[in-house]
Amino acid sequence: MKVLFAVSSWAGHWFPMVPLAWALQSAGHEVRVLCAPSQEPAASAAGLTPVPALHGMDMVFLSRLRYQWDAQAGNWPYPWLPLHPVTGEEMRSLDEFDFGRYVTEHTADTFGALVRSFDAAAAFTKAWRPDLVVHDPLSTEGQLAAAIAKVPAVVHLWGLTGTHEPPESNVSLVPEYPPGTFAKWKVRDLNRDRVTHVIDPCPAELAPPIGDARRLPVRYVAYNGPGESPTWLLDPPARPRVCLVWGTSTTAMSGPRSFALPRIVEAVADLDAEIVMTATAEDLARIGPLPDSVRVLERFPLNLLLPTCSAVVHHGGAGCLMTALAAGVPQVAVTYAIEQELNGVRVAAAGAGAQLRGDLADVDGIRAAVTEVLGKPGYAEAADRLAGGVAARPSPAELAEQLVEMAGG
Amino acid sequence: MRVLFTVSGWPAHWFPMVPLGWALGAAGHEVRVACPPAQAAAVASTGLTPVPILGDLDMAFQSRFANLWAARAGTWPYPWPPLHPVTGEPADLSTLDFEELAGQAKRRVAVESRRGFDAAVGYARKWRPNIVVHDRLSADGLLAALVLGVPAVASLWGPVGTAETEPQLYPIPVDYTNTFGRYGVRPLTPEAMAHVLDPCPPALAPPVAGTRMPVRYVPYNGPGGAADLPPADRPRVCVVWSNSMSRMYGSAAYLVPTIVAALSTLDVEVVLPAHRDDVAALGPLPPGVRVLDQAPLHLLLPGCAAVVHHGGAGCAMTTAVAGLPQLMLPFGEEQDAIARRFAGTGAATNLAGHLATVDSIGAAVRDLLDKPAPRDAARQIADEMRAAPTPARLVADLVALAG
Repeated sequence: MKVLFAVSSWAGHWFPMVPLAWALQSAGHEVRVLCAPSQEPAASAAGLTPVPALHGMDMVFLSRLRYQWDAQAGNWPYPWLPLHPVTGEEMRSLDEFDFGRYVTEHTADTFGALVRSFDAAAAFTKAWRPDLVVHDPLSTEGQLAAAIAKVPAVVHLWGLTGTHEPPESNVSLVPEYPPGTFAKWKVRDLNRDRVTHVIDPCPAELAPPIGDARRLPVRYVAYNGPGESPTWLLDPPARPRVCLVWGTSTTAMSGPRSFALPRIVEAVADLDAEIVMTATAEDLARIGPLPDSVRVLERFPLNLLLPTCSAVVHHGGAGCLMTALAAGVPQVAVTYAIEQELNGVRVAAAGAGAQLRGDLADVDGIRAAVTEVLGKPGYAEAADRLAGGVAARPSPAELAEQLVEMAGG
Repeated sequence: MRVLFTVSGWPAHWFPMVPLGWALGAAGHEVRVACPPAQAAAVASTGLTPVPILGDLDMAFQSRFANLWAARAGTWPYPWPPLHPVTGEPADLSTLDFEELAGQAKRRVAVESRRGFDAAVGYARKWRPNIVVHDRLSADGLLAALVLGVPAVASLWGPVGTAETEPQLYPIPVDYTNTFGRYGVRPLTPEAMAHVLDPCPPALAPPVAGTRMPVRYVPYNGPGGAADLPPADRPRVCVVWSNSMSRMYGSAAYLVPTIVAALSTLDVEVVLPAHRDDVAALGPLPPGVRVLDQAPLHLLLPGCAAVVHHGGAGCAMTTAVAGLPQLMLPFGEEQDAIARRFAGTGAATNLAGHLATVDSIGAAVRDLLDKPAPRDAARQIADEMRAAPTPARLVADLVALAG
């Protein structure tokens, strides 16, 4: 059978799909990853076969544009302004970016790029004729491909956020397009109401809302990108190990004031714990000199590290959060974006950690949260319970068999 | 469960293990791939997790030294001299310090293989794998499994087994340093490899001394996407040539110009995946030759009618599972054996690389394209290969074996 994975331009959105793709390939099925050229190296590095034909939008730019929209609608919670969507510079006034003018001037080329991307998805679909399409919630190309091929489309969630979050959450993952957008390909409107099947890697007690779609549970098998496993990881740490990890693009999206790592480092440096921090080279340069007690790992696969940790502090990104959930590690999320906040709040409500809004969290507040999560056994117990909930779900290998059956193979 | 893979120094030796690694990961098991440091990047780009702790035997040096040894014993088959193990230049046997090179080879094997053995055992003692999978030249994994008392499964990469009797084949490593004895486990013999993963079709099942575990060959040929090839209006022939042929056997073992010249006499389209530098060295190419960037072979084969290659196991097995007839022009003893054995099924033609000419290559490819027998034999082999349990199916067997 041929299975097309269609992915949006953010590796973290589709990394959770990688083990399912492995399962299908190792069962003798053919898999292609339809993506933008920006995702080609990451698809290849997971051992998968990229088809870099899409014209994906730059996610950092899209996020900044979204924040600008939110701010103009009065939905921006932070005491500073969002970054200029185009330049990424800090703004003194929202008027520095003229949203209406931007839309007027760029609708044609933005829409043109979208149409080219949809055309590319349609062309590949007609040539390759997939039997099944798996796509992340943002990949409308996946919905389109399945509609054209007249085969099932299955949405793969990347974390605790569902396809049908309530309106007041201000989080909507599945893109909406004007009516008639897909008439060119003889396909009716594509939106979240067209989603029929959702692969859900979350433990049952944190099941994200997916509307009327059929939920296909899967175990979250963490894949966080390539990396070696050093031998020191096998030696149990002398003191509880606390991992610090930060979003690789948080600063580019939410601005320099959202760079909380220095505060987090200061908060935990004097705890009776071994501190391990994984960060990008840019973020390491931005922090400057670090206390001797902090061990630095550049770009390290979190799934190798977290099973040895007693707690993790992160920005609320789905990859960090889900990897910690699967590993049964209590977590502290210091968040600067709506989706991350929603994720962190849900974990905290389940008792497996704490969520702090980044703009309100000072060094003392972060230290108190980490100390509590480390010290009170209830957090570790809740994290264990949730990890049990993850482990109880069918493996990607079992899900692959179910999908093949569903697609008539 | 935890599954430790150990792999040796050529990617082609362990590429066939990759889909099994994916299958285990996708079934929720933990997989680590202990490897020589030089293999770490290639392992990482499969999506699996490398642990770069094993010894580095320097396969190029060892292969060239083995050729030199053959030349001294009078069994070097080619009309040109073997390469110097260090420089890679044609060796002058009259002035070469053979004893010095033999000492180097011996020291390297002693130091590196012992380092790898100790590292594998050390890692396994801490990580406590439930089962070990190793390629047949990576005895590190076997030793670790024997020391821990867990099962080990040897993986074959083609139709050369663990219990070969042909003297020129090198089926399993020799424990020169008596490391197996030092750890107090059974000696490193074909019988010690008690379970053998065999991706070959039944007609080619090579000799093994343990339980054969058939597995479907799911091709993984390194990272990359498929070339976007328009449909051909003539039969398409894919030509694949490994650069390591020239590096091991000399520049005369680069047969691409001869193959291209031979194919230009036929009414065929040629696809030639190659590095840019190699293509530039070919000079002007005849019309009908389409040069592609390096791409995983299995992605190029749909739409092809036949494949011409150097007898490498990866090419042979990938072509076989795609159901295509193939011409092999081998250099080296393992490639000779692969070509000879495949030719025995009727699905391939074997022409010794150093004897192949424009005429003989052209005639061989014409037969593969025109006669139904090779095509039918190739299809039958592919059907047999696809009937074997997939790597995904094999996971349950490994779990059972691990108890």
